[in-house]
Amino acid sequence: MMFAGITLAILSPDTISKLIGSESGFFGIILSLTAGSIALIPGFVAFPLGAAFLDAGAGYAQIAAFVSSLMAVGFVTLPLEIKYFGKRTAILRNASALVISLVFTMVIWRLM
Amino acid sequence: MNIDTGAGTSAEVSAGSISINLGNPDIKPAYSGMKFRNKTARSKSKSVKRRATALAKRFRFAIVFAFVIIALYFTDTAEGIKAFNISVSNTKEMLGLIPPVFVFMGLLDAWVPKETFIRYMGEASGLKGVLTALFLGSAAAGPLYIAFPIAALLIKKKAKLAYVFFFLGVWSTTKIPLLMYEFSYMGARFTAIQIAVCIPLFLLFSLIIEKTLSAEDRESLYRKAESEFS
Repeated sequence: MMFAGITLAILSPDTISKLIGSESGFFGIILSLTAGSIALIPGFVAFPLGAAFLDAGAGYAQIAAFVSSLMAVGFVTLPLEIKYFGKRTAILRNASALVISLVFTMVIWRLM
Repeated sequence: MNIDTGAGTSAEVSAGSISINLGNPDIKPAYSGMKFRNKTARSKSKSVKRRATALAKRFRFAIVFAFVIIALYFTDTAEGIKAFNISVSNTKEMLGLIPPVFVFMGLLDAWVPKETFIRYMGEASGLKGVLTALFLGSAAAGPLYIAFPIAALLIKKKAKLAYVFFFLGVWSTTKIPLLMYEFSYMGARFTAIQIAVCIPLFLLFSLIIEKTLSAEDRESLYRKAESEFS
């Protein structure tokens, strides 16, 4: 997670559009999904950030992947979730949230 | 919004909230740990040392991130100060958010009888349960991990597990305050698609997850929730 934070700080708009631009396709989506699952950023920061990424040349689908997995999948909070709901349920919930994020991304990809 | 500051901000915010978050799940144990430390300080220095390492271990992420911020300060003073300020404001927000939530949950636990929960979210609540979960999740504010204890309370009150999972899903994606943000930054279309796609899917997957849990899994979930609030 420290890695994710530092990466985000270092990346320039140029690299952003190369990594998660609209041409980055599926690779960019997977990258965004991973970043979103790991990072822990409050939503009221995530959306302005997503908009800024869009301006910097990121694609809608990639941002959708990032934003949705950011909110629904919590890799960092997984231990806490396991404490409350047990391993099986916590992992299942996160996995399903990841799938849902992916589906949402695909719909955005098609429609926007 | 400037891109550079945008990216920088997010990084520091994530650093700040991660360290805070890892500190807070164990608020109660951490307190008792400190109390213990005071007691042992008078008796044995050996156990003080052990307590200290245990404490250091518990807050290791917070400590690491504190060092990262300090390092950032020395490499780039302005960024370091910004990181510190954001971390402080994050902590404040966190501290403002957690006590009310826990007080509210305590009251809910004590005052609202189990039967009410069963009526609105129980096994036989049907559509009412779905709507209740939708309402509870949408009306909320705060990050998802605040929803975990609330979900545990719902489970303790014998809510149907699928509805509790649905509640978590709704909480994560369609909180009303957050939707306003999404609407203004990402546009109406993006927001509408997210709602249209995610809500039904969360409901579907909630039901699937509940189905895949064995009777023992469910039993242990209810037991776990029970012990969480005793």
